[in-house]
Formats: sequence, C-alpha cells, structure tokens
Amino acid sequence: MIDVIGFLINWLIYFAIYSMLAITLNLESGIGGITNFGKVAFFGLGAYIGALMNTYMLLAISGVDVSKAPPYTAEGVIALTRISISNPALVLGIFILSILVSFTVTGIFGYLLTYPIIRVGAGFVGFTLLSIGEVLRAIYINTEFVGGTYGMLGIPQPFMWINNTLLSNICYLLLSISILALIYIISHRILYSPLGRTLRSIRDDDIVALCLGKDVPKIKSKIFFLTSGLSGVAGTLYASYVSSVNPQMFVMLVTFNVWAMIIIGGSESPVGAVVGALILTLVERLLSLTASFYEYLPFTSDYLRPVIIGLIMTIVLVKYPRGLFPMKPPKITKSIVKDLEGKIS
Amino acid sequence: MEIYRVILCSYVFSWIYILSGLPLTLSYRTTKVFNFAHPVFITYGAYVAIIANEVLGKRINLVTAVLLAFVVGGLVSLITHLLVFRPLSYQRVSSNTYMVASMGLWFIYQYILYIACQILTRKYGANFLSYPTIEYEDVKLVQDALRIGNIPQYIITASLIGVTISIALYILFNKTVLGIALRGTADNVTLAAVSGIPTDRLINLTWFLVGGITALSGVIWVNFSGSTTPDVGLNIVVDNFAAAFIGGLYSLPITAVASIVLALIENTLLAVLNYYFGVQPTIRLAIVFGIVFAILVARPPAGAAGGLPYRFIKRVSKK
Amino acid sequence: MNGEIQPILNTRNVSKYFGGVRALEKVSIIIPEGGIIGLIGPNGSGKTTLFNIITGFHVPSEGEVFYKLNSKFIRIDGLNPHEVFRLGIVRTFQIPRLFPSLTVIENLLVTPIGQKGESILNAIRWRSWLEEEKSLIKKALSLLAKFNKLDIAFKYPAELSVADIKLVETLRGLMNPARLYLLDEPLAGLDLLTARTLLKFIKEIRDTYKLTFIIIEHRIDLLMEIVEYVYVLHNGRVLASGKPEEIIQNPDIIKAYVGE
Repeated sequence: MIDVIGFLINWLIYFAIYSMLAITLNLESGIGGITNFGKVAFFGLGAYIGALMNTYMLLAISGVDVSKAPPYTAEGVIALTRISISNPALVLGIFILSILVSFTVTGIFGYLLTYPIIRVGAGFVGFTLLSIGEVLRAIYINTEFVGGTYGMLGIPQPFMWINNTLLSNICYLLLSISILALIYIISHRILYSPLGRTLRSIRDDDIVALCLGKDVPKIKSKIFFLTSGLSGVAGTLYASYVSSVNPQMFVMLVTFNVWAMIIIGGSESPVGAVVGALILTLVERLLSLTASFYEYLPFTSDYLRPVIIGLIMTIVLVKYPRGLFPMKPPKITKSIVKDLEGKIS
Repeated sequence: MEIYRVILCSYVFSWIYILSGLPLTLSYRTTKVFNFAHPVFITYGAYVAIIANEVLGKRINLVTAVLLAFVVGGLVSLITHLLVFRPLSYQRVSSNTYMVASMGLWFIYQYILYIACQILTRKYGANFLSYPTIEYEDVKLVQDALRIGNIPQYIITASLIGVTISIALYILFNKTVLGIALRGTADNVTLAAVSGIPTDRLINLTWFLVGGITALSGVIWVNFSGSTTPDVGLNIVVDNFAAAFIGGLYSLPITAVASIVLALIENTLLAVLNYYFGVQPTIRLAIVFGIVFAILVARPPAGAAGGLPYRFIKRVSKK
Repeated sequence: MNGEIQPILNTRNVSKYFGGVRALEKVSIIIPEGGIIGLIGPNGSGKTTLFNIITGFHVPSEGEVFYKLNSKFIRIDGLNPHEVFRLGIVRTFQIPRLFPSLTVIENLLVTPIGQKGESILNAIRWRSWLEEEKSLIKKALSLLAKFNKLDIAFKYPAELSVADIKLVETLRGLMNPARLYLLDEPLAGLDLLTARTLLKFIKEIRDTYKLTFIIIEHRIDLLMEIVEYVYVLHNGRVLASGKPEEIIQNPDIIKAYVGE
C-alpha cells in the first residue's frame, strides 16, 4: 500500500526547498536581470556547508576524534547517529548555526562572483555561472574530506531525536514551510517596492538605469548576495533532509529544473515560482513513485523526465513567454493614484 | 614528458576547437544571442559517426561519416531555428528568453541522446556511453598508400577535414556571391533585406552551416579519443566559448587563433601538471574556466554585448 | 541679476576618437548658470557624443570637463554615468529608451535618486517608503497633468504614440531635481501644441528653480524662441557660437546644414 501521508510530507518538503530556489531565481533572473544558469552551484555549496557543519562540528564538539572516524565512514555515521539521538539541543543548535553560516558564506560567494561579470552581457553571465557549478563539482570530487566522489552520509536530520519518524518529518516540514514563507514575503515585498521597480528597470535597460543614477553593479551585487545566500539555505535544508551529499546530486539538471519551474509558472512573480515548483515537484515525486512501472522501457525512465520537462518548458516559453502567472502591476501605486486623482487637475 | 604527444594533441585539438568555435562566433554574430544548444552539434556529429560505424559493421569511411554528420548536424541546427528561435524572434522577446530556450533545447537533445545510447547499447552490444576509437577505412588506405602509417590517424583526419573546410569557407565567403550575401545578412539583417537579399533563406542556410560544420569536429573527435561519451560536446564547448569571447564574438580570424592558442596552452599545461605534480586531466575545465575568468576581469571583450559604461577604476584622458 | 553670469559647466579642448574616427575635436564650450543654451549642427557633428562625454558615458580622448559644485569647480570627465547623475546633471536620449516592462508612471517614478524604498532592508518594510512614494506619485501625476496626459499613466510604452513616448522620455528626466539638464532633441515628433507647452514648461521651471538647460534640437525655428545662446557643431568642431539672431543669419551655418 502506498503511504499517502508519508508521500505528501515527502513531496511538500521537496516542494518547499525547490520553491525557495525558484523564488530566488525569480528575483535574480526574472526581476533583477542576472541570468543565473548556475543556480545549482549555490544550492550545492549550501548543502556541503550544512553537511560539513552538521557532521564534523557535531562530532568534534561531542569529543569524537574526527581524524579516526571521519563522517563519511561507517564509524563516523554510527557516532553521528548516536549523538543526534541523545543530544537534541546540540543537534538543533548546530543546525541553526549551519543555516546562518550557509546563508552568509554562500551569499558572500555570490556577491564576489558578481564583480567580474557585472559589466558584461547576459550570455557571459549565464556561461560563467554555469561553469562555476561544474568547477565546484570538480572540487568536491577531488576533495577528500568532503567525501570525494562518494560524498557524505549520515547527516543528521535535526529532529531525529523525536522517536516518531512521522512526527519528526512533520516538524521538518513545518520548519521548511516557515522558511519558505519568509523568503516568499521578502521576495514579494521587494518586487512591489521601489527597489523592485529599480530592479526591473535595470533588467529592461541597464545602461539607461545607470544614466539615471542607479549604481547598477552595486544593486545587482546586493540582490545576488541575498538570493545566493537563500539558495544556500535551501541547500542546507536539502542536505539535512536527505541525510547525504554527493557531487552527482548537484549537476546542471538541477538548475534546469528550477528554470523550468519559473518559466512554466511565471518568471516574474513569486506566485508563479511557487506554482511552477508545486507542479514540477509533484510530477517528479509521482514519477519516482511509479518508477517500477517503467521497467519494460528499454531505457531508464530518469532520462525521459528531462526530455518531457524540456519540451513543456520550450513550448510554454514560445507560447507564453511570461509564464502562466505573469506579474501584475503593483496595486499600491494604483490605490495611491486613486486617492490622489481627485486632488489633481 | 612526452613533448611529441603534446604537439600531436595540440594539433588535433586546434582543429577541433576551430571547427566548433568559428560556427559559434558566426552563430552569435547572426542571431545576437547565445545558443546554449551548440554543444549538441558536436556531440551529435560524433555519435552519427559512432552509430554509422555500428550499423555498417564497424567499417566506416571518413567520407561517409563527414557527409552524414554534416547533414544531421545541419538539420538539427536548422530545426532548432525554425521551431524555436524564429517563432521567438517574431514575438520580440528579450535575449534572456532565447538563452533559456536554448538551454532547454540542449537538455532535450542531450537526454534524447542518452536514451538512444541505452537503446543502442542493448541492440548492438557495444558501449555507446563510452565508445572506443573509430578507425576510418579510407584514411587508412591513404595512410598506407603514402607510407605515413606511423602518424596517428587522427592527425590525418583532422588535417583533411580542417584544411578542406577552411578552403571551402574561404572561397564561399570571399569569392562567391552567396557567401558575400551570407556575410551581409549576418552583419545587418535589415540592410540586407532592403537590398533585396532573401534574408530568411540565408539565415536558414547559416544555421545549417553552423550545425553542419560544428558536427565535423565530432567526426574528428571519435577518431582521436579512446572513449567517446555523450558529454563530449560539453567538454569542448567550454573552449569554444573561451575562444569566441577572446574574438569578441565577432572576429572569425581571432577566434581561430584563440582556438589554436587555447589548445596549445591547455595541452601543455595539463602535461606539465600531470608529469610534475601528478595532477589529473579532470582539472582541464578549471584551467579553461580560469582563463575565461581572467579575460573577463582584465579586459571584457569589445563584442561582449551589453557592455555597461561603468568603470571600476577611474580613467581620465591623458592630456 | 547681479554681477557676472557664472558658468555652471565648461568643457576645455575636449576631443574624442573612436578608433580612427574623429567624433569631437578640441571642443570648448561654456554654459552659464541658469541659461538655456542650444546645441545645433548637422547629423554626425558630434552633439550627442558631447553629451555622452559630459555625462560620463564616454571618457574623452583629450580635454577636460568642469562642473560647478558648491561654488567650486570639479573635474567630472571620467566619472561613471550614475555619479554624474547624482551631481545634478540629467540627460535624455535622442531615441527614447523607456523601460518597456514598466508603465508610464513607473517609468517616471524610477528616476528620483535616493528613494528610501531602494535599499533591501527598507524595501521589505512597506511603511518605511510609503510616504515618500505618495509624494513622488503626486509629483509624477501633476507633471503629466500639465500636459493633459493623465490618461497614459498606466499604459505601457508599447501602447503609446511616438509623440507620447518622446514626451515621457523628457518628463522622466525632469522628475529628479537637478541643476543641469541635457535634452537631446526633446521636440522631435511632437505636435506643435505639445512642443510649445514643453518649451514654456522648460522656461517656467528654469525661472522658478534656477536650472540650466542645454538643448540639442533640429527644429531650429522652435528652438530659437527659447534659447539665449547657441553653439554650432560641425564635423566635431565648434563652427560658431553666439546669440540666436546672429546664428540664424550666419551663411556658414546654413551651408553646413544644407551643403556638402
């Protein structure tokens, strides 16, 4: 029998994490004009930072000799599990710390990246960011203490100490949804504020925006700091949920999926991003659930998914370039204007 | 350190990068957008040769491979234009949209290839996901006839294809009316259109040529590499973009020179790092990317579209 | 007016070469504070390039540009465009470049600098920028009302007529309080009534706020109604300069426009 509740919780956690990626992609690319083809780089960086902190630090503080039992070995994993179950305060504390560190480090990373690419055109930006993702992956593969090609396992889920799996997953879901809500509100507020207007003007014509007094590189850098940092947070949440990280998890396909979400849902509004994430994560989860039905195919069903999603994405892009939920003009402006209309002319 | 091998590799890579890089510059010059599906042309070119090799019972001629790859690469490119880029251009979308669309297309093409590889592996028994070197029969005949059998075959193949295409392109673009019309259309579509040139058809032809020529680099690759994977396009295109950036996305000669220089630097550096420091070739991507990065920081290419008149360091006139 | 007229901006021997092409050569002009100065010349004479250099879009190959700020003259050539804007110099574009995905009123609202709502932390808190936004909207709407164009406030540039686009382009530049305005062909494409209203408006705000205007125009008949001094550029050099009456009668200038 299919565990419906379990499926729902699992899907919704994925949905929350991917929504964070989609909303931030929205903000930086759809509104801010930085075509981020390297989304997975920040996602992966956040995941690895979370992984590192929630394993090494946890072990070290608990007095385990990390050089004898590094987290990517069996002894390390056993030690981790033991600690996580018996010391909830420590696990939660380090988890929260890892989210903050992830945000800061990934944010600064994104901020620094903007310097060389801010002056050049969109194509260069896209290509450079794409390459960054691959370079990071190469680094992960070649670095031993993050587990190399095999990555790390046993990353504790911060609510693991709750004896009930269902309950601990529900807690994690609530945590993820809360962070999602925060990110959504931030994004929404920015979009409909003067900053959102300035960002859109930069996206439309950055040269004119510059001539009208906007310090385009600085504004783009600041926004990218925010969105990169938040993508890192999503990565940390992901790593702790699936309890592992490895370089194969952070391939270009991930970036592509997030782009598909905002293109189908709408590249300008957070609503569109969330809808896109909802649809695509559901499709993905359903497909992996029914994976056993595809055994008769002469190829892996995993390969079919990108083709289908790619086709849908391209068709939507050609027919509805602004997505299914395009941005609506700010309501605040309209209401203020209505107030003032009587007082002018 | 085997200097001979470094020279050989640099030579063949030069031709590969030229044949895949020049069309990229040409493609950008014509459409003013980045086609992120470009790596697919290389990969499809290689795999056309591989599939033909299997179908023909592991006996294939270079001429066959070239013709097939050219046609397939050209068609894929043309279809991309007709089905996606042209409809988009009618809607006057931003250049970002084209890029995103091209990225989506890349994924579609790439995963169709993965699926095909899995099906074909089952059918033919050979490992399509890591295919060994292909020998071209007719090239072998030529080698035997000229008694140059001790030169690796890929050198001959690369030279044959490279030189032929270079001469053909030179004649086309400089000596024929069609070629001049192509150049005109590439540089200024509106002007060409009002001059009575059938720009639509010429743009189609340009796309076809871009895909076809790029595919030929894949034909050389399978002759050189001991293990061709479906990622081959991606690995090569990084250098294509680097060379194209250096050429300012405009100048074909500079792109060609940059391709050669990149091939040389890459292979030498890799050999040195491997020999003296034991560094693995997987670092290649990081090296190329480092070069691109350095260029972007030091001197953003003139043709880097969207150049913002923003100077981080204040420049004043000299007098 | 007491005493001498102070210059607000002057360029000294400004030259600009693009590769081998000489766009400007040793151009020296003086712009008096509070004046309305015309800049005319045939196409390709370098007028827009001069604007580009003054506003930091290009760096001059030779020469300097000085601007009076707080009773001191500072050298502004080589500054980035947004820094020049913040010193109080605004320019509009010859071919209007409105932001296509913003409505007319949003286009107008982008310009004012230093809006509270433009920092990330403030943007998230509505209350912090609401008041400022209201007063800016009021200003934008009254600007539109002066030209009886309130109805286009919520339209997108794609829906506007050419004349309206041109007008909004100019008004966008005027939204930000500045001291020196460089208008590039503000009257092109406007009907006579709107053109005259715009000229009258320019004169009005110049008188009220002591602003300075440099105007590039081809519609010389209209321009001469309002300018006090004219510079004529030809082939990148200053061909002549003087009061409007003198310029109109100068045969060399007529030849420059019509002949060659």
